[in-house]
Amino acid sequence: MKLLLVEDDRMTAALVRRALHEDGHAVDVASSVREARSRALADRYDAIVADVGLPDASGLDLVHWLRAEQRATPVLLLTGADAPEDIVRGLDTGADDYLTKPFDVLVLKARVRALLRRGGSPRADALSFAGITLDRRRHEAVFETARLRLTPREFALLEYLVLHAEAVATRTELLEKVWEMQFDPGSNVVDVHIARLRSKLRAAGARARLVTLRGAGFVLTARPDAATAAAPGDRSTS
Amino acid sequence: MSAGRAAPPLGREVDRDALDRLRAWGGDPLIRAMAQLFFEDVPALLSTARAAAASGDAASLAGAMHVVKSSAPQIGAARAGELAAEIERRARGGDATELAPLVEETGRALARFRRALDDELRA
Repeated sequence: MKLLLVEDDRMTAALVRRALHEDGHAVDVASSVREARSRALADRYDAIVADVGLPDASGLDLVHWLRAEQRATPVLLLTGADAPEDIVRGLDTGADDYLTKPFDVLVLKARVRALLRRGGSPRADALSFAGITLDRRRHEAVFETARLRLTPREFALLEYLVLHAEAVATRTELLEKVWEMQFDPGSNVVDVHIARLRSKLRAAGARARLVTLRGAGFVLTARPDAATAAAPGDRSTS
Repeated sequence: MSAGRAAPPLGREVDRDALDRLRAWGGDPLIRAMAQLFFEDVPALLSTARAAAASGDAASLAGAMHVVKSSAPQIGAARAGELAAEIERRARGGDATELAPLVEETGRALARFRRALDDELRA
């Protein structure tokens, strides 16, 4: 899993990073809310561990921004034991859990594991993008009024792509998130499903296109210029 | 000192539980590494706090002491953490110029903690 740690104190950052590395996570560190926002916009994180007291703003501001941006990334706040009001505000703002300093590293690791299992904030029952609507409870997908007849795996793939619309999803990422594989089996399973999904979207007349960016991955886009804007000379839009 | 060995009492400067938690996880090498990072940053934080207390800059004083308050207890510097918390609390209330003696006391507490920790790690 890929985690973002937002902590300005070098010692605490080193401690937390070491703990999370031990559990096999990749950890980026931001030392301010500004840097955290920038990283969150540029990358996708499975969870965020954020100190409340940061030099430029509060970790609570970061949570507020994430939720306002409709980002459900689970957040664990690190707070001072003398600030119960931060805990209340943090959870009310949309944080998923908290830990008071000083913390036991083993407890921190367990809390992060629990956070990753839960997957953060409650998910929306319906997702939509460019006229495509997914009913996640009934596992049904429509484009405007036309029903898309998808297999369970195709539905999961479309769900992931809609959640990350207009952003490149790599083959490795899709294998991990949609197929729950931690390694690339070397097959063309992703490409086959992408091709089938693309065909079904086209047949339904969907405005969104499923673009293949050679060497990068796939993007579900509603931008007419997406095929020429992202990686000139190195793509196909098959 | 290896994990599990009974250590000598250190007095109120040191939070024994915090040190034991670190030791149980990463042994003395982890404590040394964390202490090095902590004490590398302490002089600048104290310098900022002293200047802020002298000039009445409550926000800077609170900011510097917030870092000490957050990190000191994690490595077991209990008394220094308590003092920093008190300074931060009062500075957030706008009181800065009266806090210079407490800043100095925090510096002394950190120095005592460092000596105690050095003794602990040499034992």
